[in-house]
Amino acid sequence: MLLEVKNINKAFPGVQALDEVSFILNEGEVHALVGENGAGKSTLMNIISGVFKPDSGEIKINGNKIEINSPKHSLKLGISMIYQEISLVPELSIAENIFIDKIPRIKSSPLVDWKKLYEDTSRVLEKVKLAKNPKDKALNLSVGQQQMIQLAKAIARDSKIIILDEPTASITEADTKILFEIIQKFKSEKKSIIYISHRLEEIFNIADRVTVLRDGKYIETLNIKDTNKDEIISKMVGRYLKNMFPDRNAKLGNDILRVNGLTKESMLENVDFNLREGEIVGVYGLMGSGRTELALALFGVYPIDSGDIFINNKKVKIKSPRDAMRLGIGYLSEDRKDKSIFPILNVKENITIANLNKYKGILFINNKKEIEESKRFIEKLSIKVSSFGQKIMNLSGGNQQKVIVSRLLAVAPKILILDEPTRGIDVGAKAEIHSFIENLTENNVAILFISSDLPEVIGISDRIIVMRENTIAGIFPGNQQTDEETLLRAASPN
Amino acid sequence: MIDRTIKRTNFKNSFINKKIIQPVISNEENLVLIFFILIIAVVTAILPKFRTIYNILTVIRQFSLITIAAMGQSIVLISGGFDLSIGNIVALSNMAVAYMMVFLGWPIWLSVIAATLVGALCGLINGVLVAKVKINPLIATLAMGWIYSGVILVSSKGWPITGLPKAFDVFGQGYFLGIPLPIYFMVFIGIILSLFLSRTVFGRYLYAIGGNEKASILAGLNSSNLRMLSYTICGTLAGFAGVVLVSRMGTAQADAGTPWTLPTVAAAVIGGVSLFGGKGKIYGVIIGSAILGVISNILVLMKVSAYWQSLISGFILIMAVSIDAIRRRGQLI
Repeated sequence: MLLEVKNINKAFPGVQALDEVSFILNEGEVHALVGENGAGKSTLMNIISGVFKPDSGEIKINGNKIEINSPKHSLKLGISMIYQEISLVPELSIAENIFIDKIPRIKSSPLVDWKKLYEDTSRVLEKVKLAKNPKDKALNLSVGQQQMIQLAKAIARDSKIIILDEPTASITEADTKILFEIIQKFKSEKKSIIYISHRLEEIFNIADRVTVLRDGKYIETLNIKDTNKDEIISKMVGRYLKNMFPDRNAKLGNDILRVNGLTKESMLENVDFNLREGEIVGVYGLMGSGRTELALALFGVYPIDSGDIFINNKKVKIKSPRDAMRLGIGYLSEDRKDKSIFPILNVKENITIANLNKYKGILFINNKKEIEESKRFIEKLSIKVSSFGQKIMNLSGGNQQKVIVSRLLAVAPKILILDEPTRGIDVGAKAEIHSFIENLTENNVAILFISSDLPEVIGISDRIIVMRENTIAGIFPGNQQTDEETLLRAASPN
Repeated sequence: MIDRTIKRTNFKNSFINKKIIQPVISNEENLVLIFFILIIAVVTAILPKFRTIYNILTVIRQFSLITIAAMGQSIVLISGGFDLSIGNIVALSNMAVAYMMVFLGWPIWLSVIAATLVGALCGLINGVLVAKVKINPLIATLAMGWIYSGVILVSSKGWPITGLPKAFDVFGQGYFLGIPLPIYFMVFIGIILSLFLSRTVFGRYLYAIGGNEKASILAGLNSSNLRMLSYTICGTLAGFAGVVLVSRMGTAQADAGTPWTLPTVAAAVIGGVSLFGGKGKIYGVIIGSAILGVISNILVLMKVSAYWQSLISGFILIMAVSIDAIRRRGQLI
């Protein structure tokens, strides 16, 4: 046994991310870690790689109890984490990127021993089968090649434990093949690999054992030889509380939105679907499946290359968010902090910004009107604020999200695209937002509900669009009529 | 009973603290105002010469023109930009107004308007480069600053323009009710801009694009047009300041106003405008500029060598930005 984590607990505001999770990694094994989004995989790996500290529980390496203080400490202990979102310094050479934390020096002088650096780099590059000049800048490497560089880094450090987080999510098939060969080689060198993936076929290809997490809890560890895909999926999904979602009372009307052959280079391919008044259509897909791109194309952030968009049976052109808003489309971004909030503006100003002209007198903004409107939303969505002048940054995530939703509603959209509207907010606020969305549809608003939370998509949608590789992989009935396995299977690339 | 004791003993939640002290110290403009009042109090106590009406009016007149430019700079800063060409725009419109009157023989009113529009045009060019071509604002305005300055030097060969019509003196040297006209200009423009920023839709939009440009685009704002607007306003104000400057000096110098660029940034930042955009108020900028102006006056009155001035201004600027930096400390990313 090499690494043992025992009874780990970790809570974030509003969510217990890990609940008494235990996990054993043997020497020379490839151990797959699976679970839905939010199951706790990333949190667990971040604890092992020193990014987060656990609230309680213990970690042992070779039987010695250890407290991992920082990512640096974790590296020193022989643990390397290869991230999905890769962090190389583009302007530095491949060699400098690989040896960034221990560039060889000439004797003990501060001068860099370039010859040794390039030799060492050539050696590790050979091991990851990357035919590149060590002096080349990291800038022009493909995503797959960047990943190889990260692996080379792990080799250069002689790490004993290598964590791969969705390594094949954005690389080509050829690169995947090379990656698997490298993993086999690691195994033969008695290194241990933790392999996180949504792609179950891969796991059967490469892993020795698999551990399933669900809702922050350890479920089971299975030998790959003794299990099958269906068993793993059923353990990932488990049971789910079905009464969390509001009853649907909305009457479906005519098609308010119809798209034909929507295409945008390297983002969307030939997407067709329709959306009816009062309908909630869920959009499910894994990371990089094109679900957010679909939203941004409809909202005019990425104007489409070809295809037609019809609103109320009238062909329309959407070239900017302004166009989209004029046509009655509202969009809630998945990235609240970066793309929704005006951190320095207060609650009232954050609510009214998209529709300020409505509160304008001859010259000036009518403060009274603005306050009235904000008050209406604060009451309607029960937003907890101390005053209209409160800075939005001082609200909880759920309340911030409600402020942003108010901003959208102030424009009175007919079509609302919600991109992960409940991500990172607590269960209570989640349920409130769900029932609020239901209410909107009773007033004929049509909703495109993008979520990577399967139970949520199934619970709230009338129909579910599954996206895969930039196009629609299938459209399924919602309202609990489709199970999670079906959707997960449709969304997973083969 | 228990409630009351808690209220009385817990200062943090007390009425005075919550309603008076907290809002005052949590607001940068107020802190700057307090600092300014302290300086004035100390100076009036120890320097009798300072408190003469004549001296005070002279001081205000002295910083009024650079303050007009600083207000323009603040508009750009608030919307998340930067204008390193502002001093050169002042110089260009200063030469332009003199050229129009002396060499082209244009009437005063036309020259004043046209030279101010030259400033506006410079601002618009900056705006196009930053918002449409998407050049980094520091580089775009640095380069344009050199170009504006080059235009002056090439066409004037560095010679000043003299022989301005006598009637033109009124803008910079005239008085109304005993108060110099430039002070009226500063106050009038200050009030207009304050109202513009705090009460109009466009003003609010400028804070929004400065605070979070991505969010503003998703909220349907046309961020690049707004950005161009901010640079154009800045150029217009710099142009007007340049025009009044010639009138006050009596001649147009090729480099008049050129050294103002960084002081306008300093005045804005001391007055609570954020270099990261989205934050700041006009009255803060006026106080910031006043602090710099009063300090230089104090040094003159105390017969301290002018060499000390940059030393002290530097310290004040560091102090002002430290307050902001200390507040944001702990936010690693």
